[in-house]
Amino acid sequence: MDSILQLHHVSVSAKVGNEKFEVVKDVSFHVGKGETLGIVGESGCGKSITAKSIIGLLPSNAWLSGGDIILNNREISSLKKRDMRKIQGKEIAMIFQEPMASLDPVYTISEQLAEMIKNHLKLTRSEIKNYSIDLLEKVGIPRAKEILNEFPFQLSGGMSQRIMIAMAMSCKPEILIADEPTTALDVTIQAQIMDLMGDLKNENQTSVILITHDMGIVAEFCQRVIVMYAGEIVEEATVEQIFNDPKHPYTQALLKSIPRIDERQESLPYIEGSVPSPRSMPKGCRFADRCPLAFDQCFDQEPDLISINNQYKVRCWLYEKSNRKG
Amino acid sequence: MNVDSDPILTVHHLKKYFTIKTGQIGRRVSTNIHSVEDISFNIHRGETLGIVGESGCGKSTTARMIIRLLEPTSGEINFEGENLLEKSRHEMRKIRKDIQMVFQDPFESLDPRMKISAILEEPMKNFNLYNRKQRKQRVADLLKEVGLSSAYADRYPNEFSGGQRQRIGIARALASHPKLLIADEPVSALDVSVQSQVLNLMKGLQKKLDLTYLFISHDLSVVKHFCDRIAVMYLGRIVELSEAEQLFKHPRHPYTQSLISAIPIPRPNTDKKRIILQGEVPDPSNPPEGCPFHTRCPVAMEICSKSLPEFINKGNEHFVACHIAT
Repeated sequence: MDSILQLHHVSVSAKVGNEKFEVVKDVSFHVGKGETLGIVGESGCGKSITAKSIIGLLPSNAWLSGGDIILNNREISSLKKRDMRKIQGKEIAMIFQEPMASLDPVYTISEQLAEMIKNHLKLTRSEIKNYSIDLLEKVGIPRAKEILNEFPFQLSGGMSQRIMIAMAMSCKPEILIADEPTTALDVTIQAQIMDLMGDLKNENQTSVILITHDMGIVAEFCQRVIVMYAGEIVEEATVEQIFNDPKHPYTQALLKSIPRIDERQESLPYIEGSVPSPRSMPKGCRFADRCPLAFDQCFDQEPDLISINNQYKVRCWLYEKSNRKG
Repeated sequence: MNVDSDPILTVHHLKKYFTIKTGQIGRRVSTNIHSVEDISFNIHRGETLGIVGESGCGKSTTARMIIRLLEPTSGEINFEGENLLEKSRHEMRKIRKDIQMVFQDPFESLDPRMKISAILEEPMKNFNLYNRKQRKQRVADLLKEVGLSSAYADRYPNEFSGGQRQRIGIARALASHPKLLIADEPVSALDVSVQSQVLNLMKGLQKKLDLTYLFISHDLSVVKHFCDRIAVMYLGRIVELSEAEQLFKHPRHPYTQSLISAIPIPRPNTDKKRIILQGEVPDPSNPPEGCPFHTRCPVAMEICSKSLPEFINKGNEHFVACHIAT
């Protein structure tokens, strides 16, 4: 598959007070055309920061401390703000978790949509208006003409997320980054929104990077999955492989701890302890403290992300050992 | 579960309307938001009753009325044979020793300026339990009970992770030896791996301390795992109530059916028919005539828009409010 986006050894650091620490370490992956890549992990694992580093929206106290980001054979991480702005929205668009907070409360929907369109497409004012109506109708908003003149507070969460999607899709981006797009929404609305995103993606052949903590969403919408833990990729595989035969002990434990609606469980397995803080990362494997299978080496030395049979990538000494023997 | 055993809590025809003012200044109009519309249920000693529903369905309002953080508009709440709504504020304070609450957000429900020991001692002081020395001991016991070290008593909330904070919230609720614990979305702010820790803890405590739970959640898979019986709410009404296993195997109300089908299942290539509801929940200040769900119901008939379906026992203590459900 042609990959349109590649990350090579991307690291992100942040500064809080006088402390500097690395929040994302040595992340590499690619996204193919029309593919949906899931990035999963628990809060604080660095999944959102990784996504934001791609589109150049890192918070002001964080910066890219290493690595390259290549979009269509072009390095974009070192671009100036002005050049980056031409890519934001046009080639890579992003939708966020809190649709209500991502819209500006003092502008009408039409003003916010027009701002995006004006920046990237050469259209007259009346063309913009017609295009806006088309977009809203496409994302399933009733009374599109009236809604255009309304303010964000007049809309529900589901409607606001539809508008965010309309905005993100307005310039037909090649890559859509969706950061927990349905986490703030109810399940029935979540189903509507995911359905809509699927349709739009197929129609435009958009590649999607879907960031979520919900394994159910991953199973239904993604082709490939990256599992992150404490700022690193610990496993990368196809959806089938991740769910049917997860390799990393963290992935295994994570999958087991989900309450299942389709199975009966007495007591839920869980992972002891909690995620280490980026201020005090352990010396060895970052999951070792919580890992039921950890042995001495795990506490001393950090494993590399190695690939097994060109299918899996996993960061765990268990596989490194067996691989060497084999 | 013996259904005939005397219920610890019964709720009859409970209603809550909030009055809000809308419209321009000088031309304000009062409207009533029908937050909870005539609900009745009971909870048996030692069981867990779950209330599920999407945001705005009135589930949290119901919880708050039971502990009288909100005054019901009308109805009756009986706790151990006493009508709570006839109690004075003073009497109600005493009763709250037996009914305690665990809140959703462990970051906001603990006072950041209080040490953990002070947080846990506060309810004991309120209810005049124990002398100073005994309180110290009780704090240590409570922390142990919820799986934390008793050395944490001298720390402040900001030193703890979300999961640990929720354990402290549970310990606080247990401090006065309550009989009924109302848990309003106790795990929705937590990551899955931590979520299962807290759920297992709550289950263990229930057995050990003979607690009765009212468990409120929007997450059906959590509720299925945790509850003995489940009430499904929609737009202020209970539309279905049944034993948990039965509800998931044979959901009778079209809303419950679509709610269950909307949950993404963490298994790839699941061949599942999904019912995607059209539209959104109607405005609770102007609820539709007839069945509250008819505006979105995929199987609605003419009668549904005209008359309100009764809440009927369809056998096996499976209650449904639907004209069509069999």
